[in-house]
Amino acid sequence: MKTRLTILTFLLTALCLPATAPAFDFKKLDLDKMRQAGEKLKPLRELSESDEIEMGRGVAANLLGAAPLVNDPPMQAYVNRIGKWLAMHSERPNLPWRFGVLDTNGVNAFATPGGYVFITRGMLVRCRDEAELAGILAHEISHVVERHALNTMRKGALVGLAGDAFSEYAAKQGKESLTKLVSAGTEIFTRGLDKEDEFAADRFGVVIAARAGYDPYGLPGVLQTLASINPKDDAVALMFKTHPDPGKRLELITGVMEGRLDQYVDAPTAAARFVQMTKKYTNLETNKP
Amino acid sequence: MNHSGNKPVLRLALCLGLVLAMPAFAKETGALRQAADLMAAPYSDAKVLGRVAENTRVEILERRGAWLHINAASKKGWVKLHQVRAGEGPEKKSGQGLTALKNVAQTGRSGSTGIVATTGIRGLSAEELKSAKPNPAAVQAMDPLAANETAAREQAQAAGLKERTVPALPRPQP
Repeated sequence: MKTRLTILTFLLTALCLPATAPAFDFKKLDLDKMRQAGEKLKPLRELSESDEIEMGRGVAANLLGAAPLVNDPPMQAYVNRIGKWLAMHSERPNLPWRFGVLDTNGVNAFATPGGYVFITRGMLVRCRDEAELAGILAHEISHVVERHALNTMRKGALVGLAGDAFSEYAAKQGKESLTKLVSAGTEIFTRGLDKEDEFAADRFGVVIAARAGYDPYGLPGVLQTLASINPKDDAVALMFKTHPDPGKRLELITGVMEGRLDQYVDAPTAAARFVQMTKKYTNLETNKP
Repeated sequence: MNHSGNKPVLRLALCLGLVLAMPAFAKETGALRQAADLMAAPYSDAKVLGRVAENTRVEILERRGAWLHINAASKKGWVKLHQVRAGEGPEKKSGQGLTALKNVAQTGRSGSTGIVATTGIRGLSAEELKSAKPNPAAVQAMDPLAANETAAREQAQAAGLKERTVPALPRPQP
């Protein structure tokens, strides 16, 4: 129906052109091309959960190709227990959540569709306590729960790599089309999500942290730290490029928390345990990339 | 001295125990990002003690939710978290930030002078991400590190985390 309407509209428009325009050559009309254009306008289907997870594994593989996991199984297990506890208080507690600390000095955190959440070593050492780490993980969990990356890809559907990837996936659902989705999903990390999605992940994140029993002001504490770093610093370059100004985020989140979550300021931060698990990483003079 | 048996040893042990149990405290400093009211208590409707000018250097004495207890030019009071820039400030010679960073991580919540221009440390770049060769084996290696619900709950309980019901936050109206 839509395709026919498109063709009709096109024909009517063409016929309404002034007489001085070149005469319309109906033989040149490519109906196949128009059908394809019509198909791209079809609403894009949601990924099934198993496809979402498989896509997430692909995106995670790309991230881990760029930076390996920190080789410290007890510390990684500690972070996984925090992350899983937070995810248990989200609306998608049963995804196969996986958490990892990437071995890079860069300051950043990433989440893939399907539940792979990463935080860099550089970000980890900037946390003052476990509640701050939890705040970051809860923000990332929120991106997955709300499917922000997938929605961004669907919204940008008519243009570019993401659009082609989704169209192809909708049409074929083959291995090749999933590969394209993985590429598009990885590209999100370098382009960033919509700023409204970032603000939303802040709001959802502090609520998850509060539900899990943490002092919910962990994430605001991190935002204050980020707002204090020189944006030109290479360690934060990618993160600053892909996220809204941390000072603005801090103002917005503390504003909406006032009168609602400030009753939980005395909840635990588990500072001693956090310092114990991360103190070996505070020596930054190795200056590895 | 006429102390019987282990009393002085016990007292010493108790003191040491208390000291070791506390996260080490070091002074964290900052500066006002904007002029702000200095409040007597961490509430919006507390008494206003005075005004602190933009860029005033402060000592951060305590963190409490969205508020900071500060010492600004010998006047103590509370300002909001977002009104203060932690650390020495955005412009800094390279290298000095590294020591500050170490201090933050080692001293727990009341971290030290904060983190600033850590120039020289390379981050993960967009180019590195785009040109990365996928590592599916590393993804699989994450599976044994994943936590189950029981382990997550145990670790949470060990820190005294208490679950609660919390409604979603509203989206701020423009």
